Amino acid sequence: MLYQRHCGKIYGLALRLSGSQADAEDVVQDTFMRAFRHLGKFRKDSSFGTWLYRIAVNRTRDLIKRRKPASPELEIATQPGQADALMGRRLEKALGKLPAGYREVLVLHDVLGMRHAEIGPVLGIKAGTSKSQLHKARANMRQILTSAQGAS
Amino acid sequence: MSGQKHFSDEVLSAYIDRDLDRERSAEISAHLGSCAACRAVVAEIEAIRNDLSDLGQDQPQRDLWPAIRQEVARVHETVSWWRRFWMAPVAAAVGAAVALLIVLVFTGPPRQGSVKPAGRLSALASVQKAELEYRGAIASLQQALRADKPAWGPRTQKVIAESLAEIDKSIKRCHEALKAEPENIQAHEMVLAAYQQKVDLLTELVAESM
Repeated sequence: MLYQRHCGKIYGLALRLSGSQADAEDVVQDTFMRAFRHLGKFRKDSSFGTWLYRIAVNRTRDLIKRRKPASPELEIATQPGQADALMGRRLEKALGKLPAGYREVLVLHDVLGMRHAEIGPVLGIKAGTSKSQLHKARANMRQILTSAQGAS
Repeated sequence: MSGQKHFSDEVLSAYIDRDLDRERSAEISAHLGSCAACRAVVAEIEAIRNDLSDLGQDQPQRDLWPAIRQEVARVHETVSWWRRFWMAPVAAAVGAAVALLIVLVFTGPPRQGSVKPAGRLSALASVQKAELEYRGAIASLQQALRADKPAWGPRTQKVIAESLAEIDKSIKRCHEALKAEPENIQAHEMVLAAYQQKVDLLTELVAESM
């Protein structure tokens, strides 16, 4: 089923972009409902998945915009079986501190394993921009993690 | 360190992903051979990348499907494709349209000449563009269906295959008719109507598989 195939990825994407489990669940529901209502508008996309992720990213952006200006409160629970829970939490926190554009590319590429050619249509940017955002995002992540380590 | 030049994190990240040209990449490889500081940065970025990929997928803590299914069913009720599928076969509608098209092409509708040549050319370009878009949409929907492999019963699969084949046959006949009069806008519009039927059917099949 389409839902089963994409649900986990869309939830993981929304969770890391919004930092909120409740928001991520709203995004998953809304993405599939919108996808169904607007199936007729599905035109010439590289894939159905890309179209779904684009809806999910836009929906998450809307939710973040409507939120109060405070930085997202990370409430990501450690998943069972996660190899290094502590490292996971450090990474999630560092992700929350990245500028939104960097975070989007980093999550799509390094967490979800998408290629730049796939990320471009999802975020509405060129593949080259996706690459340069990714490298800046990783540089920022290293800085954030290094400073966090120094502070603790 | 001793005044040695270092590469930025961004460049080293691009090096790790092999996003640099061969010359630049070779330059960095040579540098890394003698620079422990940059080697450490490369190792850290690689570790971040690997740790991020380990975060993997998550699953929502509650089952979201029932609410989605309810919404899908609510919208679906208004246009139950099953009802339309069994009671008014798509193929019959397209078949009638094709018959009309053939009459139009070979008898020549009188109002065609009333359109100015420049206007006709622009309209022709529009329908040709629309045709390309329909083809793209059809390919995408078929791709979504292929990837999803819905578990329909053999009878349903047979009906779907027959309906799609019938629409394809109609599209083919439309194109053959168009060969006789390639600039007939009405004929192109008939092709578009057939494509629309196919998009509608595929859209509903994708929705069914959701």
